[in-house]
Amino acid sequence: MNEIDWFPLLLSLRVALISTAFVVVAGVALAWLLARRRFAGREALDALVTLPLVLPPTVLGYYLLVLLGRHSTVGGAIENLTGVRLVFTWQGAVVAAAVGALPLMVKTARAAIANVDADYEDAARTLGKTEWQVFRRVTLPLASRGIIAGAMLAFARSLGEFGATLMLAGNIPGRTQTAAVAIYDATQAGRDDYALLLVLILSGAAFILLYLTNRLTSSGARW
Amino acid sequence: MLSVKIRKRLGGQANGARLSSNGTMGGARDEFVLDVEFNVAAGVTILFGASGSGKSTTLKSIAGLVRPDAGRIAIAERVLFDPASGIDAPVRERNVGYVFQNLALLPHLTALANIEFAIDNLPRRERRQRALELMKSFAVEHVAARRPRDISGGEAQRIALARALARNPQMLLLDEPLSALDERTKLAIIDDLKSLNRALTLPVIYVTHSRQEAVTLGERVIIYERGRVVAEGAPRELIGEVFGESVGKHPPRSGQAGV
Repeated sequence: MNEIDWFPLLLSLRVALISTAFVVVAGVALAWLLARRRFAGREALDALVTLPLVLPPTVLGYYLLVLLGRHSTVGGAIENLTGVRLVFTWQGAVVAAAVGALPLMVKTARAAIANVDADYEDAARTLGKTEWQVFRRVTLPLASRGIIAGAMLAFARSLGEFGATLMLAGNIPGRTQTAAVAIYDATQAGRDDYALLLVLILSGAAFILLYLTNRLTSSGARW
Repeated sequence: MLSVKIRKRLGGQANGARLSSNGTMGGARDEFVLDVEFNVAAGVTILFGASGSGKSTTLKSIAGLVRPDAGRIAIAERVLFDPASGIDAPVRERNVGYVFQNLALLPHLTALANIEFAIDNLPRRERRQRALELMKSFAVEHVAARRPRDISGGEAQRIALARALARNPQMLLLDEPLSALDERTKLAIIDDLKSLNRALTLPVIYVTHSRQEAVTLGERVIIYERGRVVAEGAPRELIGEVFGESVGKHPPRSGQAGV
């Protein structure tokens, strides 16, 4: 191996960062809804959001292909509105990573928000705050540890997404080939050294992220 | 003058209508209907009764944190709640000073920032000045930079009071705010409250299940029993001079309370 191809790792990093940004916003909103609002079908919504955690990645990839393909309503609308095609593009890899990572964000953030004593929120209401201000200035900061932990888990999960990515974004070297897919490719082609290098880097990154997440959530009372 | 008329079916939880975050409805306690009507003038009115008799739910209904099934709540000429005419003012517009049983000082803010939080509609300098004045009037300016976890119970209590008063509320609702304090601190704060209230001339509702607090603090007492008002009047006549004793799980019988 003379020249190491860093593209898959850099692509994975980009995909994971963008995916995490989406997942944090959508995940915290969903988590707040699930933790603080009562509505019909609340637990059904939670189950739906959690599904990617237990479904085979191929099933997820299948759904995404059907939902986001060029000839589907959603996929067509997205392409018309933003000009972004999601099938066999790196943006597709972002979607696959985000859907896979969302459950980890929602689960962690829901627990963190439910843990915030509702009296703090009520106190803010009596002090003249709107619901948005209550969320921004009370709920969010008090749940911030759990939310940051959720974001780190989502990032780690996004970094390693494989199955749905392969189906939606494909395996186009230099365009959609993420690190996880490149490992598969390299072992198939007998480039074992390259595969090992990526395996070690991904494992190390995942380990560090999980370790930091644990430190964040288990280091006792903060306030 | 605050006028209160509330009807609400209580699901049997001690502190009323808020559903707990994990969705448990308990069912350990029996259901009853909170059905009360009373007026509160300026000065301290004690809401006295066993835990679970509907006192906290009454306060939360007045503040707008809990929605009664029916009734009417008005302060002076302003109607806060009247479902018959479609009025249900949001909490933030009711201008109520509220001190929670656990005080609910925001743990991520310093004592000073907790008070400033209440008045952040003011420009920064004015806000700071008003918050410091309030702290000074409660003799707690020395803990301004500390977080709630680093201050004593009595100090935290005073910060909570200062915060509740910062917006010049038109009434003050106190939900067993002294229950966690030792006797000496309690008496000191009761004195503060009394002198404060004379200066403020606000309607103050003070919820307690402690006879001692009821007798020392209030000019008037309303006695609750299972969601009903069973007696109203001067605390010493109704409750007597039984100090240091709380009503336990069993509420006093209406006969003993004496009307």
